[in-house]
Amino acid sequence: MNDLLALLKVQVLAFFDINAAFHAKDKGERRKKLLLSGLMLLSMAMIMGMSFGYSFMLADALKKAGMTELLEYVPGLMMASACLATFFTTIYKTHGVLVGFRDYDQIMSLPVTVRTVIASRVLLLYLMNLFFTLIIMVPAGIVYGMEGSPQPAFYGLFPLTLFVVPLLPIVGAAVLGIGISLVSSQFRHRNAVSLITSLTLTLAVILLSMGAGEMSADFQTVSAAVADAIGKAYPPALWYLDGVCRGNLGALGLFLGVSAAVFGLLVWGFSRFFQPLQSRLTAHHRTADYRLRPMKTGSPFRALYVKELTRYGASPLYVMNTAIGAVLGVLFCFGMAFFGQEKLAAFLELPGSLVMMRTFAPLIVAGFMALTCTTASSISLEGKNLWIMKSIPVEPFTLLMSKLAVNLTVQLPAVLLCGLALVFALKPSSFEGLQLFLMPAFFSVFIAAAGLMINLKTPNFTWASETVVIKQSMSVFLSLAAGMAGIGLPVAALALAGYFKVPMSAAGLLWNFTMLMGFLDFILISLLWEHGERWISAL
Amino acid sequence: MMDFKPAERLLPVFVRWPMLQINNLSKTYQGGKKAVDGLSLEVCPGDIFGFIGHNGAGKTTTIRAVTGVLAFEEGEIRINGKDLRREPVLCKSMMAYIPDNPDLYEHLTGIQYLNFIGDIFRIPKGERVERIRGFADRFELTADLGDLIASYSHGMKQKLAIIGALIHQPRLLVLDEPFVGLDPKAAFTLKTIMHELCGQGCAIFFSTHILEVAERLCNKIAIIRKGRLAACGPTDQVRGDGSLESMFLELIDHE
Repeated sequence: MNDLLALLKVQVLAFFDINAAFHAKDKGERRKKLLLSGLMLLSMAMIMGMSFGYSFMLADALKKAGMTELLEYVPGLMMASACLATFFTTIYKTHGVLVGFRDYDQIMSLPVTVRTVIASRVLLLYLMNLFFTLIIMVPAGIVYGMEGSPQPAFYGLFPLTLFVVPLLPIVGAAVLGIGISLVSSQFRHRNAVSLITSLTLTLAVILLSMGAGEMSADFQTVSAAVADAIGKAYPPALWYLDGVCRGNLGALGLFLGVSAAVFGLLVWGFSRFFQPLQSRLTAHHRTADYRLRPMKTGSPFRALYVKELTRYGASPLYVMNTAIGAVLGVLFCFGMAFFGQEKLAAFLELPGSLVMMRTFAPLIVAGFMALTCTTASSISLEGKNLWIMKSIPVEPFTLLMSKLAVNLTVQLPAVLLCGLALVFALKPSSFEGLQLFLMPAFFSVFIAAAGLMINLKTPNFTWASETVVIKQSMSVFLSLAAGMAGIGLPVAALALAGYFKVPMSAAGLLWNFTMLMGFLDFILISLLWEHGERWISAL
Repeated sequence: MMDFKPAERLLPVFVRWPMLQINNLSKTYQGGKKAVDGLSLEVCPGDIFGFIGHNGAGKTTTIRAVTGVLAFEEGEIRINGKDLRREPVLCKSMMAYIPDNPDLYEHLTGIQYLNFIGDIFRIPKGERVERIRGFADRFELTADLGDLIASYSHGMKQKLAIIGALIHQPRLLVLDEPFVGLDPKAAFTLKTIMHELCGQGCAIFFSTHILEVAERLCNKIAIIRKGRLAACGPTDQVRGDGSLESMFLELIDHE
């Protein structure tokens, strides 16, 4: 047990970079880390608030509609949502947390059993997801307690079962994540195979979950329809619902038993096959038969750009997390071109008429681009290779632009495709058509430059798994916030204008915003030019 | 065993200006620890300059400052007369650096890494392959160049880092513990190459813990203790009548 706790402690310290916040010698650095941790806590409080708000509005609407018997679905729905989110975020964490972690040699040489090592890795995954489950589900439980009339057993069962909720999705994600890695490892171009598999899977599930949300009209009661929708999205949520909210002991036993058994099976099976699995997943194809031949030469910028692009393609996790916005944007716009905007808006439950869509389409495409950017983790990903970046004779601006260019390589073709699809779908005027391309393109530059600057100021070079910097770093979080703020600005301006009855044309405001975005791009690039050397030197 | 002789006698007098000048360098880490304190030294073309000190003495900090990897507050570093802080790109183009731990881009193949270095240092297309072939053959790495660096052993990565440092013909070669991880044959090849480079007018500044290597290979030696220079000069002068080891231990213990 002591071994397990010792291993877990080291992993938690490394994964959440806790020591830097409390033990950094430099006061400024410590303050920065504490401030960033505070921001992270604030964002978690916001998610809790959102969960509470959503649950409360749902409960309120159900009560007003006289459907109080459906209130028990509030915690059930949030449980299904937390489990699906856990499942998707964990698939891509398995490689790096469960297998293929950097300190494998160090850990495995310690006098501890393989089962203890596995248990510590699985517990780390569990802790990360438990935290997430708590911030989603606790507010839903409180709302149900306030608005519904739960049985007394609920107050005991709800807090206790919270600790069991993440187990099943973790097992499912671990099996799938390792499966993808195993299949990919059979191929020479394992990263490409892993990427295609992951992307296909994600898109398939997004489409399926949208399909599951559609309720059939055949059901005699709304309750049955809701239960069916939840059951389709995540079947164990129904056992949970029956057990925790309705006090059905059989269902509760089934939920707890299946969760514990499946989780135990994962730890047992994984510890049995861990070492051969690790060897297979981390083995590299070696040929050792290279013959020198003439090589393509190019400028330093091209060399850096190619290096960055190769780095990008070498990490399916990096691609999945930074290209998904562009992919979804293209899917949305092509959906609009093929199905027509009314059908798509109805499918996605988006309000608005053709005129609204024509006006806001550039902002929607820009919003997709703002979801992700490659640059927000590109500095941190240099990791132990930072010495190369700092010792080569290249102007810092060239170096930074090579990183920015990768984001444009991912997003600009998507902007172009989205623009063409929307021109076909919306038949805009030439002015509106121009804006369909200009605003998202300017936004793409903005988010790339902002992400780069944020990562230059909040780098993390001591990561043991790239998941930490790609998915959970402060710079990625702040870049997303910057992107959302950029999108939110014109929306807020329009809302305020409407509220105060200020006569303002939405199209005119968006044109001004496009120009402002272009100007902001110029400012940010100028800042990188002016201060890039100093910022890189300070890394 | 091959006997290495100081190369300075092979060079004409007119090229004896410093290739590396460190003037009064100080580096204080965030938190207040002064890692290097008022350090000054010069490395001239033809010098193989050994930099010795125990763990935490300030060797790596000095080397990282010299190569532009680490910013410093006080003092001045000049590469071939050019101020490193004013003209960093020009200075870096004249030198090569091999760190103590060869962390290279693992997602690239060996040849992709060398071609990357070739592009960055603008090695002419016509000469690139031949230079790579020359060094890769000597370090017996040619056949492995098509494989991913991630699949290399520590020693192979070290060899690749060395080849990458040599192919652009630096005028100043800065190495941090270059013999760690190399097999005996590769270590011998590196020593031979270091000697050849000095004969061609290159200056070499390297840190090592292996005092026998320093004594045999270097024509100049500096010993650093707690960030300050404890001894510096021609190897014969620094070691005096005894061995370098006894001199080093005496200096380190004499605190």
